[in-house]
Amino acid sequence: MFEWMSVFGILCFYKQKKFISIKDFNSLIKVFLFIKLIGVPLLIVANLQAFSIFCSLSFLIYIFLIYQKIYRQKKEFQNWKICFLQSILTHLRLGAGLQIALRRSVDESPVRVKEKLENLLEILKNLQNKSYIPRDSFAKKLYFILLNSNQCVDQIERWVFVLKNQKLYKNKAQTQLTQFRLQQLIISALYFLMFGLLMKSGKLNLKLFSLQLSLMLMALGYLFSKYILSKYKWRL
Amino acid sequence: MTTTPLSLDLVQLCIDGLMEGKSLKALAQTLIVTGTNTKVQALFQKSVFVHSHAQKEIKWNAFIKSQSSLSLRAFLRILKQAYEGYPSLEQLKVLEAEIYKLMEEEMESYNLSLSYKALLPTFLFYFPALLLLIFTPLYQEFIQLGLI
Repeated sequence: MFEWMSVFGILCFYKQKKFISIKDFNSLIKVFLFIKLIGVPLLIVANLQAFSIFCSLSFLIYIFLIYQKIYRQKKEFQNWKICFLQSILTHLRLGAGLQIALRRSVDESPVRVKEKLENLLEILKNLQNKSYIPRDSFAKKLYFILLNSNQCVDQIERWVFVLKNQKLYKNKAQTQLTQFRLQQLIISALYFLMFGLLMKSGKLNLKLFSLQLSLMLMALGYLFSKYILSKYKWRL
Repeated sequence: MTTTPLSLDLVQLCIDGLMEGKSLKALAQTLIVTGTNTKVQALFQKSVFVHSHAQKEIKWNAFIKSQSSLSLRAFLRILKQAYEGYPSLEQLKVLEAEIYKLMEEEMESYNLSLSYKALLPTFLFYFPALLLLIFTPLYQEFIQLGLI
């Protein structure tokens, strides 16, 4: 219990000093809780072999999830926001009124976002009623652009341009970073697999200094790779 | 690397503001009061302060030179002109396109360097950890056999 409290304390300290982001902090806490809730009882009830196999399996599942993420990122490059805005632009250019363009664009959108867009349409139906401003950032921006109907085509055009570029650069950067993480994860999975196999054959026990050193090196490797990734900033 | 560079954020904010019909001075005042990004707020606050100074030419030059990023310097030069009343929308759009090109170049060089940097934790930590794990039982076997 004391060890877990100290881990939590160190994480809070790093978060306070902004060495790690809130997103990283949350994911680390999730990992620790996951290991504590499933891994530690496994370690106590079963044995070290089961624990190491559990670790390598978790890493393999994680690798699979990351591959899926890369695949999804590529697939969803043209996301619904860009498609929806482009559809509005097309209808406005063809001479449709604002409300008709919105209605048609919602109808043409994919089913999974239709409900969200229907709600948006309800808000945008009464543009003159300025007492209600939508909370959602996308809806809010669209609301303010549509309020100024003289320039709305130019502004939507620009918004599409910015969204497309954002998506492109985010995808490029994230794919590279994900590949980096993937490499680290594959090494970790191999390590724990080997760990489990050697434990099973009875060749290792946790009291060995070299084994503790090896585990410590793995942890240091993980922290160092996180540090390399966190160091990058745009020099533009 | 996931967030956009500050210069691009600034340029896009200014283009959006100009397209909404605001002047850059009015936009700066609004952002100083209601902005969410502290870096953007600080930069606009400083630019307004420098422009209202009695020796604004000297102060502007010093302010521009104090920026390490070249695109940020270019942005500040355009901002200075805009505060003096010159049109700046087209210049900002050109700068935005240039920043995108620079981003592309920087990202390529970063991607190249990352593949080498990734080797560092592997060779320094992961590889020795794996070696230790493999050679420990081997070493024990040798001791038991009396070879060492």
